[in-house]
Amino acid sequence: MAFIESHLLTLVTFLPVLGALLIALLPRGEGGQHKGIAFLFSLLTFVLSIPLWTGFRAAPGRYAFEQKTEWAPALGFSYHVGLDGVALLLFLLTTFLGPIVVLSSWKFIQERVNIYCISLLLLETAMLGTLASLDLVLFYVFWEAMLIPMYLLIGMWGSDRRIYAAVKFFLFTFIGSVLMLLAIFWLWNNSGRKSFDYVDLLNSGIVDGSTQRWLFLAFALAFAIKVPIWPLHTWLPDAHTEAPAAGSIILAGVMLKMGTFGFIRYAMPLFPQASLAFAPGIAVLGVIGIVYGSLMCMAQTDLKRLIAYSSVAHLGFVMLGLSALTPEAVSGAVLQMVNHGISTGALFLMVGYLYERTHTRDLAAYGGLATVAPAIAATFLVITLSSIGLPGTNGFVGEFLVLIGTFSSRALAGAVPLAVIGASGVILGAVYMLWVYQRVFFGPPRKAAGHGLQDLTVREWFTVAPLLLAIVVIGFAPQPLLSAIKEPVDSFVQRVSHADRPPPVRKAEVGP
Amino acid sequence: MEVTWLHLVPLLPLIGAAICGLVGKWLPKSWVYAVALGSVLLSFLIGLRAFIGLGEQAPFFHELWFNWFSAGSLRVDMAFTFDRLSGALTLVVTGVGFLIHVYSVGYMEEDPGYWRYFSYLNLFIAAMMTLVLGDNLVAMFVGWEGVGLCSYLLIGFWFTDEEKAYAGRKAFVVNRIGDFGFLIGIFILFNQTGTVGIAQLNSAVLPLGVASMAALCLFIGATGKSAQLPLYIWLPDAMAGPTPVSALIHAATMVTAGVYMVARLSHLYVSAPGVMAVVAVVGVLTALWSALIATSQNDIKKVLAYSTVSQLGFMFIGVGVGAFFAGTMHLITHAFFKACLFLGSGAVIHGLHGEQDIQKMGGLRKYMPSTRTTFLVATVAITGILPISGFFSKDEILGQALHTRAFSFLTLTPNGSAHLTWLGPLVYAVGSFAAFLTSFYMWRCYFLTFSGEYRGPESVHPHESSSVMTLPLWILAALSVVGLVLGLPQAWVHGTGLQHWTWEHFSEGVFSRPRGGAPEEFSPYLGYGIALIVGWAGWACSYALFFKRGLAGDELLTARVHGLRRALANKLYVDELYDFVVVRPFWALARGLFRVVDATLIDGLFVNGIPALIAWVGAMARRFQNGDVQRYLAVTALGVAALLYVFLVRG
Amino acid sequence: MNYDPNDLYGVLPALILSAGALLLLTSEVFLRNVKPAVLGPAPGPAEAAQRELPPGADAKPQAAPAPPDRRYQAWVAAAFAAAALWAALSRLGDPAVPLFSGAAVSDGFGRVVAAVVCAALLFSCIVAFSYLESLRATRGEFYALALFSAAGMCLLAQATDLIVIFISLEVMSLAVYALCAYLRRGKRPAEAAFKYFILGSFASAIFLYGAALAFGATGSTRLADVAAALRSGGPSGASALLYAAVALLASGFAFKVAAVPFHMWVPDVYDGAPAPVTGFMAAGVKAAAFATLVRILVSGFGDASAGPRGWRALVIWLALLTMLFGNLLAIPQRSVKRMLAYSAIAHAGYLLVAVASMASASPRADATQGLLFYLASYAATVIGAFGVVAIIERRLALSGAGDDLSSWSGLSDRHPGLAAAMSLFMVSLAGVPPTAGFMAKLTVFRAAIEAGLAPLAIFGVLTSVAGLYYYLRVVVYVYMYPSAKGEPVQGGRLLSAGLAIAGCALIVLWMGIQPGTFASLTQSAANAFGR
Repeated sequence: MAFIESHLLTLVTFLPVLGALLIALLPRGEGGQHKGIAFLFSLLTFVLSIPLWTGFRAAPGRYAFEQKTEWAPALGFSYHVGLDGVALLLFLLTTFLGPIVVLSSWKFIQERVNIYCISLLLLETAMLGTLASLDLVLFYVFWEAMLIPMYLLIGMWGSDRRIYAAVKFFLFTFIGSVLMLLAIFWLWNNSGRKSFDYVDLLNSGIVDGSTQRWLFLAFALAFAIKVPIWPLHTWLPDAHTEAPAAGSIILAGVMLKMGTFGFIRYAMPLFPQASLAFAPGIAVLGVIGIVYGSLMCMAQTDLKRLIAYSSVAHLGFVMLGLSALTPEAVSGAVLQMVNHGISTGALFLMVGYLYERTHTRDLAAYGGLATVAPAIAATFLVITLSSIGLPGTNGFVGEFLVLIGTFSSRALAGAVPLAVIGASGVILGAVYMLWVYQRVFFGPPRKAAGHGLQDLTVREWFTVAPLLLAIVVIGFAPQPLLSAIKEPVDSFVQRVSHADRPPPVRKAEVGP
Repeated sequence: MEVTWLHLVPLLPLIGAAICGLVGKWLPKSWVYAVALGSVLLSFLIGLRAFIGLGEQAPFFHELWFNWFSAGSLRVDMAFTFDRLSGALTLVVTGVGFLIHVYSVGYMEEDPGYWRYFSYLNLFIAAMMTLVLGDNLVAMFVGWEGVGLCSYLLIGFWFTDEEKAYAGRKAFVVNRIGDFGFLIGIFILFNQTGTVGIAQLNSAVLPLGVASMAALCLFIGATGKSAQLPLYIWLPDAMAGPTPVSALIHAATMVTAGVYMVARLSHLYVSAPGVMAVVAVVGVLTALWSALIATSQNDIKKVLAYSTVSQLGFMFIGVGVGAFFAGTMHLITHAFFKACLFLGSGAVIHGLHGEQDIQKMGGLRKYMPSTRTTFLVATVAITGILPISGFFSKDEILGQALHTRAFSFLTLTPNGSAHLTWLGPLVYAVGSFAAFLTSFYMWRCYFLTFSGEYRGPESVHPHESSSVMTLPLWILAALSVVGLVLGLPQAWVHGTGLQHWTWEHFSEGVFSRPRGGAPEEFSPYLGYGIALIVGWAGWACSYALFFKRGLAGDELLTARVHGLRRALANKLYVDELYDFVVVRPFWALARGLFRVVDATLIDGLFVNGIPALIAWVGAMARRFQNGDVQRYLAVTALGVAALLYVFLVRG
Repeated sequence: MNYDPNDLYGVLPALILSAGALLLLTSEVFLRNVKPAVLGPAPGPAEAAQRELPPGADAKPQAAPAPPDRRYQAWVAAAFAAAALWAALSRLGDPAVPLFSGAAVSDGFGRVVAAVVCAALLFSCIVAFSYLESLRATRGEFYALALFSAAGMCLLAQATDLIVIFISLEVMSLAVYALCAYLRRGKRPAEAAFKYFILGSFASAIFLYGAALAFGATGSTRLADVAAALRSGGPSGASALLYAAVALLASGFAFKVAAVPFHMWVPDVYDGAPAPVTGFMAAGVKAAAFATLVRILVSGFGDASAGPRGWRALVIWLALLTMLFGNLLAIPQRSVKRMLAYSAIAHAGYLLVAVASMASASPRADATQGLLFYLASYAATVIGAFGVVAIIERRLALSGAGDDLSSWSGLSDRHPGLAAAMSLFMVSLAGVPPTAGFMAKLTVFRAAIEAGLAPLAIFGVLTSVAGLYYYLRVVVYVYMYPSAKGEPVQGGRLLSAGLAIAGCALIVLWMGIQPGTFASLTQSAANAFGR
């Protein structure tokens, strides 16, 4: 039992791999049973991750469920995992979406099921590992290990231009990360102690300003592409549009958050002065993302592509909040990460179901679905409202905190105009989301609504209901989440917003 | 005084909404009615009990339901305050709301989506109560957006009709523009005071600049929600919804939220006299503008819609000139008679099988007597030709405008003489003219609808509605009459028991006084006289034009002022203007950006361009590798030579 | 020069390999019924393989009696390779001992390289077995030659005397030339071998000339003496000679490691040679050549590294060019074999980065470790990759199609195992975790950063992105394109090759997930050049 206690995090992280191995050993073609195993393991992963939430105790500067063991001492890195509040929320989000994703593609995926399930499970482990790891090499390994399964998901089960999208996705992300890898080595070499351990590196910061900036940029590029921050976003619409529903859900639900998570966990705390210097720039890019992304949505004729662009807008809010460096804004940003995962994930889920039925993503073909499929219409409406941040849904709290925190930020130059422009996203969001909603569901039934379009099935209800529940619950009771992230957020703000006055400890620990 | 039951007021309708919405489809009809009506009635009774409980020892009830969220120094509670103002509105909303629920039972009986309808309606009551009772701006904002959602859903209730769906969307988006202002206002206040609690804000000291900015931003929110210039355009279209909805949301309650908000934050607004001037001016302009348009509308609901916009303008005059009690009083009385009017029009439309064009009506008094009577009472109330509710409340506003000192604080010159004193009288004058127009178009509407001969097609047989629909009409008509006690001048009721019922006295201490000081005591009689003359003048004009002639009156009028009439009939082309100036350019911008920046620049030039370049270079270099061993040798030799050069000569 | 029999233990791997080669050759004598006709293709599907025959060049296949069964040779060779591998590994930790009075050395570095070479040979033999069998082309010389070349490689890794280096170089090279031309049938192998031979001898000549200059400058061919002479400033005016010597020696081996601009032979040779041979070359020759290059530069000219005339700058330039053109030229390739050839060039570039980082003393240990790790991981990956290529190539040779990416499309449907393995190797070559390739990249570039070569490292990783593009393309064809229509799914002796490929795949994964094990093996070698 004690063993389980101390290894719970590792156990949960690698459970999906077991499932993948199991599937790999089975004969091909037994599609149903592959999906069954995949579902079973992802569900088990979720169930086992619940104790992480119940047993989580926030402690300043410490990580819950921490575990550190030798990995490759000869190469200087170790297996070090642990969770703080922020990582915990995203971790749970990932395990929460896992079974939903498997279940959602039950009908849609029919050939090469085994590879599909294996990819899904490996992907889940990679994402969980990225969130849990506290050693930079370990982090990087997981970070890039995410690419391959997602690449396969897009490339093998995507639609027409899937290969272009898949390669674009892989190359974009890869370019960013390789430079980060070099930056990691640089840290390892120059931070005094030859160590890849996050905690060590955090305590032995680089003091030299210009170096910090270069390293920060190297890290930031990797994360900015993943977020994605304008103008590095163009891989996203393609990837989302071509990917199968499950791929889009994971992509929007978790993977994009890896970028923002990278900012709040690595790029900004490791290089506080640089972050402080670059904060206005990031904030501006975030605001551009909000406005520009929304405008892009209005220009789309493809349902999935539109929602993909809405992600750009939503994550613009997150970046704005992170760069505002006030506890309100940063908490809002973190909450917004979770919200976006749930809302946009749900949107892609629903769009996937629509696509399964109508085999088209062209908005012009849609219309009047509310008459044929009221349940879909109703659920879609709730999700839409959460996506435009209506009070009472999860979307509101995050956006509100981000904006109010940014508005009252002292550390961020030009905070007020940025917050105001950012707030205009509230209007734009309503403009395009309601436009889409009317286009798809209102009016007289059009082509896509034809051929006996079927309403939500029981299986589909099982996938949608948890998301709807999450939307409402977080909307009305976000406080537990906010309490969980309070500690890391406060220390983050402390560390970065006061970077111009570095605490003496740092100078003492600078390496030879 | 802390209590623990206040949250039931919004919660019960919310539960009702949930029940109707989730399982109502499968419940028997009567159960849905029971749930929907019962929940509203219950919260009305709770409100009533609380209202009676208000007194010296308990000036207000307060409940901290739960801490919604808090981060950093921001703490947002789900907490409610029930004082005389919010209490009165609670009664109005739940009361009128209940009546309209009852009415709807009759009105929506054939509609298969009734369960959806009642769910939305309950949801609206819940949201509206949150708006009214919320003790901080964020909680208020929850209701603020919640009611917006309900209006969106209810306007687009018959969503298979693109027009109606579009109207709903328009309402929501325009409201969002206002909400944007509201949000910024909250940010400013939080940034200045570190709190979002209304009570704290009403005791905070606010620098003029901050107060003005915040007040202005919040007022933008109000113009959106309460359909003032320049954001009123959504309200007339909102008539696409079922008529009871128009009565409840787009006349009686929701659209008055802006006025309520300004009154709630009276402290903030009196600290920003310049903004009060803006509020008053916007109010009076709106009143005039929409009254003008209303004179030339032929859709009975459109007439009432523009009349609502105009009446809201009056309310804003009231709060704008610092007479918060007057504005809110008109809010309450208006809720009664306007709801009555709308429900009446609904009954008419119902009785004519969906006919809304007053040109196809006429002579209905003999087909639907009780509808006609109640409509008549309400018309009298709004036009104020007899001293019942509307007369007193509207005249109070105008009188206060005439004598206001609200703006002088801003412009007191060293020698103490106040400027901007002309504004009040100006507002009064324009307002009175608007009142004249009001009387004119309301009576036009009444005459064309009920007097004369029936002009509709033979196929349609007008008939009175069922008692479930007429009963609310009677009650509301009664209220429109009884409402007069709220507005009785202090002089008349001084010492009598009625004194405690007059709104001015009742709402004593709820509102802050304008910094310029309250207007000096003035005798109301002159004002009353002028108001009566104005009212009757309006009545006379439309009587002369329409009572006998009917539609011919319109033609006569058109013959006189042809261009103006056509412009007014087309709502002064405002929608077209917005469409041309704002909407189209915006969408064009979006498409242009997408084509140029995303598709061409980023993707075309960089993302696909650079790899293409690399591949091209690779292909070029590849040509060199032609399998010719001599060439290979040469290259190798050259390589060696180069190294030797580097090492011996250059090095 | 006195001779101590114990020194023989130092070169045990080479001895074992040579003994194996001799054994195989002699065993040929006892196989009586050898006729030239045997060399002809056997009846059956191999007919197609005749397509490149000059008309009437060969005897009628029908007339040919069944060839004697030579399958044992593969296993014998494998056994000897395994023995040599054991010999190399068994003494891994032991201290370094100079052999033959300084002409060679038996140190951790040499042992690790020898181990890599022997392992490469072991796997290559197994791959070659099924390859040759299914082409009915097994002959005794093959495995003997392979063993000889491997012996040469092992010696090369240990040699510390320019003469010995030259001899071992030739032992290795000549055997490899022959191996390239092994499939006599058809022009391409012959042409490839011919080019290789001409250019190779050219390079050897250059090397020899460099050796001569070095001797002239220092009066010795021992690397130790060269180093001593450098340290003492050397005889007057010798410095110019010495630098020239470095240049020539370096270019000699730059040729062997296929550094730009000495790379021109690589694509044709890799393409022409039989896939298993190519794999063995890519793994073994590279390892040995790099080992020698490092020995010459570091322990010979270690002090001449810095400065504009130092070899550090030289290596950096070579690395830049090699990384750039290797990747650039690989992009347009549509033949997987050629693509892998160019990728071999590119990887030589990354290895040169490690060599450049060895110039300065402080990061040397890490750089050495990186170099060895890289060599090992590359060997495992590339042998596996060429193993798969061998199977596909054999198919193509039998079905008569040309080697083009399109023939890979939909492999995952026909052979999921092969597809998965190939993709794994591609991913590893691209340096994406969790594979050996990533850890190799990590060790090398980390060393580069440590040596202050950040710009070089940045350039390197950026070119590796370009590399990702063409590696992914293979995965695209294997997994994302539908199976090429009507292509027959042939069976054939997959088992042994499959074993080898699976083995490589496991090693690649293992080195990627548990790099510590191999890294600790290289610990002893890391300080081979420590001061």
